[in-house]
Amino acid sequence: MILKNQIKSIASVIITILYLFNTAISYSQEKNNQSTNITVDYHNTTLKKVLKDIGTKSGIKFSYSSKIVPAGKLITYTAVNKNVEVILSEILTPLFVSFELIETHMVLNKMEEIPYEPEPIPEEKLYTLNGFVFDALSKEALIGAAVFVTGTSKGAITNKYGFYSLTLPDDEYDISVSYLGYQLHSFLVSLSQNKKQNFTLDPIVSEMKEIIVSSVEKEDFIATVNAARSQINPLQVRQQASTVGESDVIRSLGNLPGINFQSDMSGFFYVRGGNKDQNLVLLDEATLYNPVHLFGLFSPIMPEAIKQTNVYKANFPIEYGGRLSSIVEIHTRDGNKSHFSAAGSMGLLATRGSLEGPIIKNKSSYFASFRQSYFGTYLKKIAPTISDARFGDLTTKFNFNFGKRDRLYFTFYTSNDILMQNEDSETSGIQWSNQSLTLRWNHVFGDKLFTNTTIYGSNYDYKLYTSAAKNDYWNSFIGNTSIKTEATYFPSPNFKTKAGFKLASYKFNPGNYSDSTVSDLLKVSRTNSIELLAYVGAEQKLSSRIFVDYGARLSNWSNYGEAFVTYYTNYEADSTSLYQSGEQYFSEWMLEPRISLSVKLAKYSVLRLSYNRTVQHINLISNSIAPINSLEVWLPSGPNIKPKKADIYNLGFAQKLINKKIHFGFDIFYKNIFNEIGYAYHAQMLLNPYIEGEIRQGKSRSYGIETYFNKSKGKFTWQLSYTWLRSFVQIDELNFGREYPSLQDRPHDFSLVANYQLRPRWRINLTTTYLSGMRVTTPTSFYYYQGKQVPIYTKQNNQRLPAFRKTDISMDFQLHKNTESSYRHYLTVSVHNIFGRKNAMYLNFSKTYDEKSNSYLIPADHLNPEIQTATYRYSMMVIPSINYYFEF
Amino acid sequence: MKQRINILLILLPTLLGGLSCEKEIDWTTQVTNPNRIVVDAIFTSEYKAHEVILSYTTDTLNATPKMVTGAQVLVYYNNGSFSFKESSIQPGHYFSEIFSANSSTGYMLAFEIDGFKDSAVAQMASIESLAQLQVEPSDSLYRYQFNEDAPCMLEVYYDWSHNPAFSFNYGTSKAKEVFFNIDNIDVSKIFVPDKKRLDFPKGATITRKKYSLSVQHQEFLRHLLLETEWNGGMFDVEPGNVPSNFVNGSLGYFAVCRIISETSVY
Repeated sequence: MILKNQIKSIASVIITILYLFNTAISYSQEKNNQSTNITVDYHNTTLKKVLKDIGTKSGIKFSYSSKIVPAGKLITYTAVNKNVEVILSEILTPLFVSFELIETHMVLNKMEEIPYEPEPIPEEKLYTLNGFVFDALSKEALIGAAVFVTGTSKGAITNKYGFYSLTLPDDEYDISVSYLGYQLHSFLVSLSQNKKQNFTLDPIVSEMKEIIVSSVEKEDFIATVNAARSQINPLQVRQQASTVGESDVIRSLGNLPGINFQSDMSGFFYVRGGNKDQNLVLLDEATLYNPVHLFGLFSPIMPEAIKQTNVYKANFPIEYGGRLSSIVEIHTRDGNKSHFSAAGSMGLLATRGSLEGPIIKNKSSYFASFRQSYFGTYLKKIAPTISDARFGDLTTKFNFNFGKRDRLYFTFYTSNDILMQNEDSETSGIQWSNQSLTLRWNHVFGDKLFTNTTIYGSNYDYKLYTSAAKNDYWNSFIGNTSIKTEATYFPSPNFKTKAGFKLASYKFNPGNYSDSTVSDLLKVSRTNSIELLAYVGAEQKLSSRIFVDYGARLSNWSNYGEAFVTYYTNYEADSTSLYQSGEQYFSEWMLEPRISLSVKLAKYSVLRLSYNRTVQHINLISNSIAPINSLEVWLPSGPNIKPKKADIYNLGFAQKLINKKIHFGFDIFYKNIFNEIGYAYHAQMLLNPYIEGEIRQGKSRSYGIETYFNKSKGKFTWQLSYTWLRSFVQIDELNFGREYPSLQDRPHDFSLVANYQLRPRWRINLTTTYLSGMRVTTPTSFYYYQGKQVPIYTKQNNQRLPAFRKTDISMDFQLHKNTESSYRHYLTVSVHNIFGRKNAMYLNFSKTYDEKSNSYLIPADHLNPEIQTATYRYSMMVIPSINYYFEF
Repeated sequence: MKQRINILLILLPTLLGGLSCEKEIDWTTQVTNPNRIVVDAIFTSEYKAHEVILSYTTDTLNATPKMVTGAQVLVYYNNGSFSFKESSIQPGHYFSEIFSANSSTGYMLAFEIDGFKDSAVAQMASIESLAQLQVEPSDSLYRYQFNEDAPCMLEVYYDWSHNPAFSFNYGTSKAKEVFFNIDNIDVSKIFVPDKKRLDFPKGATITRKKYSLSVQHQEFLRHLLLETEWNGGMFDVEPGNVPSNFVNGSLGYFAVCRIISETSVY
């Protein structure tokens, strides 16, 4: 027995020794293999095949995960009798792949970030690489693409025309170009002279178009995280559960932290406690004064027409201003430069379509999108007196390349809403339209100077017909014609400067009646304004961790005749002056400084501090608390309306979490507004020649914290945001001079947008929102007068409506099986407000229940008073819809 | 033009009403009860005992107001004055001797209660004649159509006591509607909320009393209507207190109006 055990022990020892010996030999062989010289020659060969071939030739066994190593990457490489280790280094390093021999296998892994490289040695010659970044298929210029030296933080971001300029020392560079939803591309560039180099990126094709963020971790993180700026991809908009089947970029703003809509049916949005007129919506640089259809249910810009939308809530780019709370910058698509394509959709309320294609292949293109509603058909069934009810819009864009240095863009946009009724053989109703036209010319001087000159105009025209047959209508109008030129200079990767000049002329009609027989007592003076603006700003990288952005705007606002101006003392008209055409009667200069400082705290965390002053001269004059458009008018600042000014302070932080899959960020902000506008109680806004005497001005302030978590990769993507904010107003003549909460003081705003890819061709989308109720002024007591119960108020906006809660859900079905199919079509089934939450829009105390009509009505009988009750009107309940979308 | 604007748009409420609903809500108001005095007084050209009603504000909607009793109420005009006596059966209701107000005289209504004094002045405006009575069928009943052009307040009294069945169904044999035509153009007036229908049976006695309105009185009524009849539509404006012409903070309004009236059986 003992002998048996001894034999077993000896055998074990021998086996162990043999195993160790064998391993040592193998290790030695591998080591030898690693130092072996081999000859290879690859042309557009996948990395997987390359590794297999090297393994065959050198005897090395490779171990890697295709999730980490881009096995499908095409490699072109040649080496003759070269060391394997050198070959691997030359092939894998540009792909950010490291290799290490572990036991018997060469293990490939993701490369650690290469430390920041020192600044260029001054003696070195500097050359500029510049050009444009395009979509490889459509040749559409890509805004905000990162062009950077691989493994470093040296790089540039393409501007709104897709242009970049990068100045570097004389050398050979591996340049990487990355962009949201596109494959990362690397290009070897030898920079021994100034060079023009356009890059094209391939869009990532997936079964259903997922929101894919491609390799953004490779970008300079500072550049991608701009405090208080949000980017909205049109694809994201299409994937959000939509209102009545119509996806909508403006409504999707409500899912961003710090932005909320007055109600479900409202087109009015409020940013960080600012008022509804404090948001500037730009379509290819032209202002959209009233970007809503159907009183605010839809925005008139279709997702198909949009290339990118940027939303700024603080730290506005130096070229933008004129509003106090936000800038919404919408860039339309250029159109496909390589081939014709079309898309369209049919929903419950409207049908829409788009066409695009080359005019001259790869040089110029067109894009046109249009929408027409058919909801009037349903409406006529509900109300037979309605004679016409529809909305429509058209967006067209043409662009032309003239050589390598010049590009021309032309955008035209128009939208129209009509709602007419015929009663007692008289046709009356409402019509409004937005128009904008932009002509832009890009020119690149040398290699470092990019210029853009824009001539643009836009208007908003609102008519309330009292007799369409006689062409009698009330009309409110605002329009502008402007010219702007801007130059951006890129002297080095660490410094960029921008300067511009703008001249704009505005026309205001604050609501007049077309009938010439109307008494002069009802005529509200039209007025004209001119805005002159000069600005200069710079973006500077002070070190690898510190980035500063600073500048100032100097503007002049002047008002000109022909205008009839009333001057007031204590809000009572005391004198009037008639100013002849071209005669100046008001002028004011304003300086708007701006600065922001970004500090890269760690590899993926950035802290940004910013301050900017902004000025607003154009005011929407309305004392309506309705969630929809009423008969608003626009007035400029002038002798009776002081310009509104805001100081915005923002502290932002952004961090990538959990293996860089989740973005987390927060912004702490404080906004101080001077000359905030309020109105005398029960101010008369319609056909009031003394309308400016109804305006009261004071100050307001808002502050809060916005936080968000965002996962934008993979089958399950989501964005979670929460905002806490407070907003207050103080106007001497209102609320007994005491500060009071503003209408938009809604402390808690929570939203979740989630998309889950159930099957390769099915996706479910969910959007849920919780928002504190809107502030309302409610009576604190009542009294009787002539049989009427009259409310008494002691505090303005003293209570709030019940909290707003809504969950929308939708399912997208990809109907085509082949992702390469030329005809692609999708079906979206959605349910708006799936839990049927009755969200209050406003509150009322003056009605009584009427059994006959089963509704709440104003009491009529003054001899027999009826019980009045508190009622609220709530918006749309559960609304299912279906939408078919196609593209080819 | 005003008329043309007035006939405007039922379609907006139709459209937007189709996308929204109204419901009762159990709302708790933030009660502050300053216990302010409210004056309801209109002197007219009618030769009668005029009435001044003094009450206090109420804490809640539909509450019965506490009346102001034991006040001294006086009216001053030109070089004269007379006092009002409180009704013994209707506390807070003060009645004058019989008189008729006239347009050439300015009136000041003053009262005092527990050391608190307040007063307001008013003057009568002229009036145009009554428009022709316009009635339209409403199902099997009839409905008065307000058709006055000039600024006025019109009280329409209905008496259908000749029809006991209708009186029984309605709950009483008399009713009163008040219509206003004031010289203003407000969005809330254009998009006014629906009012209850007050239909009457054939053979009802209709008495119309048309009140003249001074400019100040119209302005007061504009504020009043914005907080009552015109409130609750699709385009409400920011709420505000209804002003008064009493100088020391009392609520309500003192007006002097010329009246023309007409009674007919339809």
